[in-house]
Amino acid sequence: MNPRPEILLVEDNPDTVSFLARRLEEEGYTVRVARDGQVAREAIAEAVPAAVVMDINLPVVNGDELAREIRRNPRTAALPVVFVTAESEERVQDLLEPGRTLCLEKAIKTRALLTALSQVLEAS
Amino acid sequence: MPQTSRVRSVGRPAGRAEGSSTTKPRSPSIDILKRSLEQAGVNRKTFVKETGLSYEYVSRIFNSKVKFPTVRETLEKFAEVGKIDPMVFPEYQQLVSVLPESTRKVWQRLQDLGVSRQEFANQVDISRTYMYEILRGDVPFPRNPEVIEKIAAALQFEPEVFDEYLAPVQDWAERNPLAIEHVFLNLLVSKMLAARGFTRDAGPAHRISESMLSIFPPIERYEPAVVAILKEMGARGLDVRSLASEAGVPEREVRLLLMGQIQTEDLAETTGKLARSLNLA
Repeated sequence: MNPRPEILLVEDNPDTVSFLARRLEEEGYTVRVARDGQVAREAIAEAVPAAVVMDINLPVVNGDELAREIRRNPRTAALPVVFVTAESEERVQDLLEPGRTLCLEKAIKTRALLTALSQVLEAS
Repeated sequence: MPQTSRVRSVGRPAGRAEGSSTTKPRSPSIDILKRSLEQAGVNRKTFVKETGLSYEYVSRIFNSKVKFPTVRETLEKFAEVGKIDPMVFPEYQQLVSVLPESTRKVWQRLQDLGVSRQEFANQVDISRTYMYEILRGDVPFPRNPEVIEKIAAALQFEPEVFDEYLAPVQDWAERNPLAIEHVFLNLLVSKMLAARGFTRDAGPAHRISESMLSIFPPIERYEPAVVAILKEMGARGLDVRSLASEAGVPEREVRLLLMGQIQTEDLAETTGKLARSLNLA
């Protein structure tokens, strides 16, 4: 595994972005940030990250829609995704796969997020 | 060729002395006005009566013996009597074209309301000299919010109609987009408190759509410690800023908790300070 895996953090709440980015960096991850689904789509097209941490309700393109695109594209089909959402995980139930696509309901514990990330990165 | 000589040749064609009565072009407005009066069935006598001008002066206008009027109210009166839009007169178009956008809106509104400049200047509680300067377009439209509010009130307009009213805020917002976002998020928290019944007597300003409310997790998913904070905030009528200030904690961390983004475990110190500040400990 890359010593500093790159995480694409897709979240529109500026406070959450800044808090989670800092925590992830403290844990040794490199973090790229996208504030909406379209920017995230372009960021993935430019360089596929090690994993995506993504809200579901996002401006321009929603997280579930982007995740379906990720799964359809052979280049990114195996890309691990961890959803973090204020909604219920039911919305992305059909996308969830142990070890590859997980969902954490807000309010989140960063400990839980870090555990989820470790799981999907180890499995990938 | 030197620039000045080229400009001069364009601005003043050779052989045409400025101000010469023999070369003064007949204003197309004369024929426009005559036609409109004919179509409206208004004869010269009625026109004189309606406009309050002298018969002799009106005759001189129609015969192109004097310059077609260029005063806004005169042109608007002509248009009113002839049942046409004053913008058909080139003289009026010229007056309007040099005005700031907001002054143009004032002109249009005065016309719509049938209010004279004098009546308007009397209604607005600012210096009449200044008001006339504004109306003539001699000065930029005011940026002072109090002056704009007075002008808007006299016109029965919302002050936001004038771009200058929000310009300082917009300028500031463009320079500080993140600060605006924080203010917006604080407002959303206040709206959520009202929507979920934590705030009593919340007014219409605190209404929030269901889709906007869905950015917050359901209240059942909030930790009891955060729910207690929300209840006390609502009871005391506090917003994010005042609570953060009272507790001596960063607003950003208060929002993370109250917007249900991050659990108290990650913000233990802030949660403790908030609880103590609200006597919840």
